[in-house]
Amino acid sequence: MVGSGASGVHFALTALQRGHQVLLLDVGYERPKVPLPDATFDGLKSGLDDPVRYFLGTQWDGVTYPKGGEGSFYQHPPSKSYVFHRPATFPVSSDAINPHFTFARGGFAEAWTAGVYPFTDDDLAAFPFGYEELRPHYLEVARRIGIAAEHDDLAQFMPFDAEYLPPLDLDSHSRHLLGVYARKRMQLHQRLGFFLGRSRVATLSVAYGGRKECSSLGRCLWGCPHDAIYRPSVTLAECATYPGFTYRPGVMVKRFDYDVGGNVTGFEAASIDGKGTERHEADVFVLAAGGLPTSKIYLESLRAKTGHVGSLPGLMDNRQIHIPFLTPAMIGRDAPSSSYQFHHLAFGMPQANPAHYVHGQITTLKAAGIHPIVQSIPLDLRTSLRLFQAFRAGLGVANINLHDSRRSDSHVTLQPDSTSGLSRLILRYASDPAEAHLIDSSIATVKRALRSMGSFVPPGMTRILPKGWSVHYTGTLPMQEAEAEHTCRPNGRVNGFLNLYVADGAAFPFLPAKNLTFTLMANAVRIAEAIP
Amino acid sequence: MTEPIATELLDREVAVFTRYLIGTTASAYICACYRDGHSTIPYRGLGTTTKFDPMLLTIARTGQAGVRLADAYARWFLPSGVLRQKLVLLLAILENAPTSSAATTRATLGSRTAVLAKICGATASGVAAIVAGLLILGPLHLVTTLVMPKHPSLDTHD
Ligand SMILES: Cc1cc2nc3c(=O)[nH]c(=O)nc-3n(C[C@H](O)[C@H](O)[C@H](O)COP(=O)(O)OP(=O)(O)OC[C@H]3O[C@@H](n4cnc5c(N)ncnc54)[C@H](O)[C@@H]3O)c2cc1C
Ligand code: SF4
Repeated sequence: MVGSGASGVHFALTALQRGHQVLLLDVGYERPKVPLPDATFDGLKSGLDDPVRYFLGTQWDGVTYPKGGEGSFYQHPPSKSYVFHRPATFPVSSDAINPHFTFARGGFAEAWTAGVYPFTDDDLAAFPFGYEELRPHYLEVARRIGIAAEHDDLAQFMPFDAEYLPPLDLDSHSRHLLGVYARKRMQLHQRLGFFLGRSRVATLSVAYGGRKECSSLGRCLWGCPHDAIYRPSVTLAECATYPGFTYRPGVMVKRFDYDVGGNVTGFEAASIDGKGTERHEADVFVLAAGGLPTSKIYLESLRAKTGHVGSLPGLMDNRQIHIPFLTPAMIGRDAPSSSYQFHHLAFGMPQANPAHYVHGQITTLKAAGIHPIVQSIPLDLRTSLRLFQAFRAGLGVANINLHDSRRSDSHVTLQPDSTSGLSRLILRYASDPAEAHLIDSSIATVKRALRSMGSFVPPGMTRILPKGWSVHYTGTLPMQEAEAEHTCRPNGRVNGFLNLYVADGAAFPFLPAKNLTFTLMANAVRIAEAIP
Repeated sequence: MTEPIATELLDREVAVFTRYLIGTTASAYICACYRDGHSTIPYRGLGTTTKFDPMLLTIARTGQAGVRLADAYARWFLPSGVLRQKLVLLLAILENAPTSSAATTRATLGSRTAVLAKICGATASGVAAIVAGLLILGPLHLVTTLVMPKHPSLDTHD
């Protein structure tokens, strides 16, 4: 199999538990050593020899320069650059989508914010199975990774039947918002259709499975030194305890070979240090390289066999919108940086079509790089800094996620280059014309809800992020009942192939607004359970 | 990438700008970081330098009043110009350096009324700085743009 991301490791662990032998091929860039594991966010600044280079990077790529009001309010810190490094041997061009790639050991979820939300039957309406079929696999993944959650108003939009851990300690701003919401909830439900609750997070509120609980170091964005935030490397380490498991990092899988009967016979992989290629044979082949690399391996394999360059329609990604806000009631209070940094709150806004449910998360400002925020205030930097310090305890961002659906004008293809021998991955994305209305109405509702809860939304600061930002690339080899070219059977087997499976987001036929990784992991377990 | 400029000029900048931003002197570590980070400022890459940038920078280096005026003006009229990029780089350094981190990142504590009064005062003085910048630097900017043939090289003037 290919890929050690969230999908790959859960597929592998289930396959191993069922007695299979697993060879996992991976590029697998490794996380650098985490410095001073017991230091808090502020403690790192006083304890490290060179804290500026740690936080801003030796190449200074952690500095966010003014760009005229575009982009997000934060960027990935240098300590996570290994997650987003793309080798030159993987060229990409894209149109109307700004994709990210990972070739890290553990994939994107080495840098995720750990929001985990099960899909409902409505979310799964386009899938060839429903919630009941996924349920045992959600339960299994929850048992493996540890999820902190609370039963609240959001339970009606996301089943609450796994064994969850107690919720994390709330920061004071999130507690304040939840308190105001509790007083106004009927009004917010009836007038705005806005529901607030606790984020479900794969972060430990109590020690679990050999990992320590969150001790409020405030280093989440830079990488939790205690793995209180789940990352797939934890499960990869568990796989390594099985004698039938072999992990082979340092290789980029190029393609698979197959015979005329649709029997895949081997993976061809190139060493990432350029020292040659290798071939691996097996009975069953599994693609879990992430939605886009999986599509590339598939297209490249067909091209090598037929000489024809195919195209995979249906590329999806969630639209994300960031709405910064200020809660005046918090002004004058402290905002300790020793606090869990990511979102504590989530919200839901049901729509007339239940599959178009709008999902979001609220992150209040605790430990953070502040220069990207300060420079966005429209005054001189000194005054902006004073204002930021005064507002600090009341600052937050609501992050809205919208669903996406498969369309033929959003697709993935290849552009072979005979000189270099490398194929370029080509992505073309066309937004759903109906999305503009949903963007407007969602922004309006969230702003009104925030205002009802006593928060102020500064004009002109809402950011509709470009497609590609949410990193939820899906839909190019969809699971469906009907047999058709470039699709998968409901069990993840690729149509036209006897022993080739897709265990990642490429196989999703629809992309609900809720963050998908819990479902990626549960679906990977489901597919592994059904492998003969 | 930018061309190397005289170390004395960079040290002058870091001293004036640090006092301007957080009211303290810059430590040797902050100066060293600024010198190193400065060589990676991407303003050339962003295509944002204008004929007026070197003049704004010269004014900013003169001292507290100069940098405040130049910065307030730049925030609106040259928001991604040379001066703003240098100030943002320094702010990023200050928030992470041990001696300046607390002064840069801490929240203002106190009663809501007192903090709101501080907010009002700061906003009023920030707006006044923009107006002053507009009155003093606006005409200079206009003249520079219209009269000067080509902006001097940033090697010698930044
Ligand atoms: C900042 C950030 C925050 C996020 N927050 C959330 C969140 O809160 N909730 C949520 O649900 N999701 C979140 N996500 C998304 C989530 O991380 C991804 O959905 C998930 O990690 C995808 O897992 P995957 O295993 O399918 O693929 P990937 O993570 O893409 O893993 C792919 C794996 O395949 C390997 N690989 C790729 N190509 C090849 C090749 N050709 N040969 C060999 N190996 C290869 C890579 O090395 C990697 O190990 C976030 C992502 C980011 C970046
Ligand atoms: S606050 Fe973040 S970095 Fe600190 S222990 Fe908790 S999860 Fe880890």
